[in-house]
Amino acid sequence: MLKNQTLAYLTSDDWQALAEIAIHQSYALGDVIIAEGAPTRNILIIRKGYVQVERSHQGRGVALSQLGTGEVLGEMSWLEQTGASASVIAASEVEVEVLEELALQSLLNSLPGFSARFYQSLAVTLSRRLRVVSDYLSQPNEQEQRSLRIGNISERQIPPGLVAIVEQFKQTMVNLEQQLQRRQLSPSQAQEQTNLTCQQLLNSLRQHSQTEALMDSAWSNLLAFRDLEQLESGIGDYVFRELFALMMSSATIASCYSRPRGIIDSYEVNQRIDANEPEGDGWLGALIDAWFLSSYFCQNRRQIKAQISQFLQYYIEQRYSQNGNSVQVLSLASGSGRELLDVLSRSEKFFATVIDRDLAALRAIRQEAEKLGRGEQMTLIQTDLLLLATGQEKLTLPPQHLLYSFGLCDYLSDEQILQVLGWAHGQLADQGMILLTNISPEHPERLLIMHILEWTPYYRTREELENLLQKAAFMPVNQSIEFDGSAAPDSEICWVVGLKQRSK
Amino acid sequence: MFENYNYYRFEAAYQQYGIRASRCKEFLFKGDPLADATVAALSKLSCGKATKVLNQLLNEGSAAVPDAPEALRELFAQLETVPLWVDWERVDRGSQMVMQLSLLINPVLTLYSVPLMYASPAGTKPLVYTGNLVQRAPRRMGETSRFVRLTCQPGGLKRFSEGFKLNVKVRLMHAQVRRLLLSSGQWNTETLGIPVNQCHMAWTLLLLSMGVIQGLRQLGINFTQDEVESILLLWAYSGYISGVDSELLCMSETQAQRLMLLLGAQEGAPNEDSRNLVQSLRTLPLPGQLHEEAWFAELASTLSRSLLGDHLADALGIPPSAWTWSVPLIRPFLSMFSEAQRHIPEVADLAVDWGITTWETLENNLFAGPGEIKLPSR
Repeated sequence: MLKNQTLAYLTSDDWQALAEIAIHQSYALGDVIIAEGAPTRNILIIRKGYVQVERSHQGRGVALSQLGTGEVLGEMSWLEQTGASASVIAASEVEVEVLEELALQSLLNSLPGFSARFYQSLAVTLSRRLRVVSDYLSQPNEQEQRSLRIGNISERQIPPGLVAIVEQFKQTMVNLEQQLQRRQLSPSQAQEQTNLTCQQLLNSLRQHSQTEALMDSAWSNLLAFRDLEQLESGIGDYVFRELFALMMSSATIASCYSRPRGIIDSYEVNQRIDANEPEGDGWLGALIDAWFLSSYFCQNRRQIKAQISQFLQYYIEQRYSQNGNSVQVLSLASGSGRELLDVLSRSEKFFATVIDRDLAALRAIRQEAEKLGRGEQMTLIQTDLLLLATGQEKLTLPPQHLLYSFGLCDYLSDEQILQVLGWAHGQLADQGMILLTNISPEHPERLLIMHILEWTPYYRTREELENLLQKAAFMPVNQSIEFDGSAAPDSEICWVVGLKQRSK
Repeated sequence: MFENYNYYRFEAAYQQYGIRASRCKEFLFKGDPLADATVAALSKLSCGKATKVLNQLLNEGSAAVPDAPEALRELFAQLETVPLWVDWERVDRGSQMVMQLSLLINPVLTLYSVPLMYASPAGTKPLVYTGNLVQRAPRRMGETSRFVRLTCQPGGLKRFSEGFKLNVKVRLMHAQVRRLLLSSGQWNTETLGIPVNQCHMAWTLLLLSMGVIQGLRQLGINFTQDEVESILLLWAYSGYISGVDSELLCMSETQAQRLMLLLGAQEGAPNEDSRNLVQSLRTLPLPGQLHEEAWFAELASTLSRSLLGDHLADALGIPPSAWTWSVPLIRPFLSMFSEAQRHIPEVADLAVDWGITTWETLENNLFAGPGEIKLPSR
């Protein structure tokens, strides 16, 4: 019988005794091993294969976790004498050892010392889990709060040139609204004017955020004791406050803003950007939305997803043609998984696992995959990647061939990326590949992202990403493929591919 | 930007002054630790809070703000400790003397002391970063003028007086300039020393005190030793409040002259920034559009060249003048004027009234200033 960490204090004799009462059972893919709420109080130990843990609130086919060989199931129901807190579904052919409640109870009563060791094991396991949850809850998550946008700049330090452009912007938008109401402008004319005015505003913001301009602002009131960084924020604060009402009439900008500091792109944000269908409130909302959807920021995101999709297709074809085996692809916190679904519709040669915190995104992927009749090829797991990376959550996956993430690095510090890469390294098969993207420090709409969307991503160059890959024992590789359509420039979103070298 | 210019003449200064020059050089790399810590602490507060705390400390004293950040408490502990060498009677005599000569002090500042400040190529470098080197000239001159007036008015340096507060504010502004430039990544400390360093602060202080005395003397004003030392004491205390290192505060004419020579010897030759700044002084907006009068420009050039000497005046781009006869003509009148003040109290009072009125009018003009200053063709 397989020894495991959950029952760490059991002796060899104890395991021997357990082996004698264990009942061996097999399940086929998709079989329900334990149903949520079922009164079963058996303890199960996985002997072979993978199971998925699901809860009804997540929806069908979206797992909380995936567990593999050696993992223990049902111990909480056993202790609490309640129904199963989650369903356990076979994610492959599965073999388990079942410790039936009565047989186990009998062993606890009869085998000297077994009871103490058994309960101590469970107590320590639960204590560890509690510690993890407490640590997680007590961690200050600054990213979930908006920054206080006040006190960064004094009135005298706001550049008069910028004030003039902002006032002009507001006036132009008022005029546009009136002209639209009176039907004096065609929609295309209105859009053209909106684009021009918005762009002028961004140009002015960019100009006044240059070091020389900030220095000039600083000099305008030295006794405000502001640093250049504070002044840059202050100039953004001013623009943000002045334009808030107008900008929030755009559905996409409002969706972006609803994610405090852009912790992780939401399903809704990605859907809106992918769909590229302007929407908004009032006469101007849709116009501003259309301008935003045509911005580099949104264009890049659409481009990079198309690129990843083509890369996936290319990689899967290459790998399949080499050995004829199906390919395992793991998607990390990549939101709506549009790129996977594109490939899924064209290929039966791969299985994809998607890990994301965003339940709405996972549900949508499940629906889309089922519509395509490819639900079987997708494993969806709702969990926090950082918890996995730091060992606070468990997940057992078969060796993966390609692992990719779109946008994840934008929200992680170097230290966190290294943790994720360390975990990812363990999930990949030899010669497996990893693909990462990151928003570039040269992104032309950095100020829009910072001041209007209130997102504070980590910006990195390709070289910086490659350095992180190397630190995590991946070898950066040049994966040059011809993309259909225009590719996102490196100066806007950079991407890197790393290779896990063969184990020695 | 910096590498191709000799901002300092360390070798020459060392050959002339030996170990004193080496000691002096060290002050190029020294700021004002108390003020530097204060601006760092204030930058951590919101704009409004920083202003409120500072104003409360200035207006009510440190005892009224017990929860002020540590750095501010330390700064105000120094500011609220009056050094033993401060003799208030003498400081008042210095104030009285400056006030009586206030009619002449602004021309001396504009035509001599300030051009000498601008002659320092490294000392003017912080101004280059404003991006409005020339455009802000009237405002800067107005601020300098106001600083001198408030510092020198009777009781100007007493705690809670306007002059005292302005000295503290100027000190913090200098510290903020240091902080901004040092964090900008654009300042080359190795070549320039730190921005607004002790040498340049002492140089400015000396030009406002000894420099003004020298300028007035050249124009015919006589000073007794007590008058000179009273003025120097007044400015030494201003230097103490403004964060000048105690080693660089001068209370006798000999000390002041020696330090001026030493600091002057260390400075490099004036550069293009110096010349642009000096040129901007020639178009300052003056009452009655005086600055647009040809005769006035000619007279200003003559006086400036006479005070600075032809060599330095040429280096600063001050045009030669045909009115060189005017200075010897002016001297006896001004000499008589200063003697009359010394002996006839009514004349002295009248001089003070005229001086202050003129001074304030001038400041108002400078602060109101035209939208844009254009450099005169040279």
